[in-house]
Amino acid sequence: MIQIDDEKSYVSIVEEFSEMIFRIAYQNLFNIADAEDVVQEVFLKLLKRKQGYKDKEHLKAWLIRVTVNQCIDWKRAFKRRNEVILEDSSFPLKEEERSLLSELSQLPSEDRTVIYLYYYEGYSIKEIALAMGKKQNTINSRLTRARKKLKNLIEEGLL
Amino acid sequence: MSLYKDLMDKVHMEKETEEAVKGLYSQVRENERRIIMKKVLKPAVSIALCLSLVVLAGLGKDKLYETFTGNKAASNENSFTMLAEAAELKKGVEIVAAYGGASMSTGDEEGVSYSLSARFLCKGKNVESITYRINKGVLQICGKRMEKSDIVIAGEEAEGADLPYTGELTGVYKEFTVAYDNQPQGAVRVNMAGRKIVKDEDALFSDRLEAKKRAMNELLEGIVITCTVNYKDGTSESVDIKVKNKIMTNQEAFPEMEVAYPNRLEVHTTFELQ
Repeated sequence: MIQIDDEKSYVSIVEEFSEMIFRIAYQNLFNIADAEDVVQEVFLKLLKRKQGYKDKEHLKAWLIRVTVNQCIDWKRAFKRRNEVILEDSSFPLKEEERSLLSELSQLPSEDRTVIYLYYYEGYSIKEIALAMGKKQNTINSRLTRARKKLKNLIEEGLL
Repeated sequence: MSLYKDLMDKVHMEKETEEAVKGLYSQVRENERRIIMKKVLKPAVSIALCLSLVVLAGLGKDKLYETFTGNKAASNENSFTMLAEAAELKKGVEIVAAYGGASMSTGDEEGVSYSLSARFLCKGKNVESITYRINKGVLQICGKRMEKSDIVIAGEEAEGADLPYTGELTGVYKEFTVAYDNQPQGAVRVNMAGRKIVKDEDALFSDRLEAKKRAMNELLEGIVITCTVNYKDGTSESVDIKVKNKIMTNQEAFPEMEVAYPNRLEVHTTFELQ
C-alpha cells in the first residue's frame, strides 16, 4: 500500500513520475509552460487525495489518468490549437525530430498518449486500457488507427 | 533507439519546475493545517465564551443576564435565504434551471452524461461562508479567466473535467466553500454534472414528452445539493435542494425572458427545497 504521509515518500514519487507526466502533458498540449502547469496540477491532486494506492502500478495508472483528464480540462479552458502551440516548442530538436513531432500532432491527443505508453513506457494494451480507464478493444483500435497513419514512420523504423 | 525515443528523451522539465513541484508538499500541508486550526479554533472560542458566562454567573446574576441577552440577540440575527436564478428557493416552489439536459457520451464510458446549471446565491445576516455539497456527480465552477482560488476558500476536488459543462471550467468539486462576501455571481456558474446508465436512453433525445420526463427523472434521480451556511459565531445551518423535472412551455419556464418557441412544451429541470 502506498500512502503519501511524509515529504520523503512524496519527493520520491515526484522524482520517479514527474518526467512521465510532463511527457504525456507535452504530447497533449505541445507547450512547455502548459505541460509544466499540468504537472503541478497533477501533483496537487495527488497531495489532496486522501486514499492510498494498492501498489506502484496503481499509483502510476492513477497519475496517467489524471494527467490525461487534466490536459483535456486545460485545452477546454483555453481553447488552444495544436498548430499554434507547436511553434512555442523550445526543445532543441533535429529537423527529422521536429517533423516527427509534427506528424504526431496530427493524431488525436488520446492516440498520442496510447503511442507514448506503448512505445516509450513499454505498456501492454491491457495495461494502457487499465491506466486510461478504457476498454482493451478501444485501445487496440486506437493503436491500429495511429499505426496506419504513421505507417511510413514505422516502416522507416522511426517509431 | 528509434527516433521517437530520442525525441521523447529530449522532452523533459526544467529542474526548477521539478523543485517547485517537490515544494508543493509543504505548501499543501501548511494550508491543510491552517484549515484544521480554523475548524478547531472556532468551537474552542465558543466553548471559552460559554465558560466565561458560567464564571460570570458566579459573580452576579444581573451581570449574567446582561451578557446572555446580548449573545442571544446576536445569535437571533443569524438568518439566510437561498436563491437560484435570483428567485428564492422554497418548499413547493420549483425554480427552473438555467440549463438542464442530457448529452450523449462521446467517449467510451457507459451511460449518458448530464449537466445542470444554476446561479446559486445566499443572502443572510452574519453569514461568513457557504458550503455546497452534491451527493451524486460533481459540482463544476465555471467562470471566464478565473482561478479556483478567486472563489473557492476550501474544497474537496473531484474528477469530472470530461463531463459536459457550460462556460469555461475552473474547478470540479464534490464540495466547496465560498466566502459570503465573494459568492459566485454574474458570469460565474455552478454546474451539476454526472453520468448514468438510463434504460430508455433514446427517450432523452426524443419529442415523446412523458417518456422523456421519465428518462430525465431516472437520469437525475436522487440528486441533492446541500447548502450549509456557516455563521460568524461558529454555528451553521443546512438546507437540501432537490432536482426535479417538469413538463411546461418554454415561456412558463422562463416567464421574464424572450424565449424561442414560447408555446412549445418541453421537459425542464427544476430546483426545489427539500
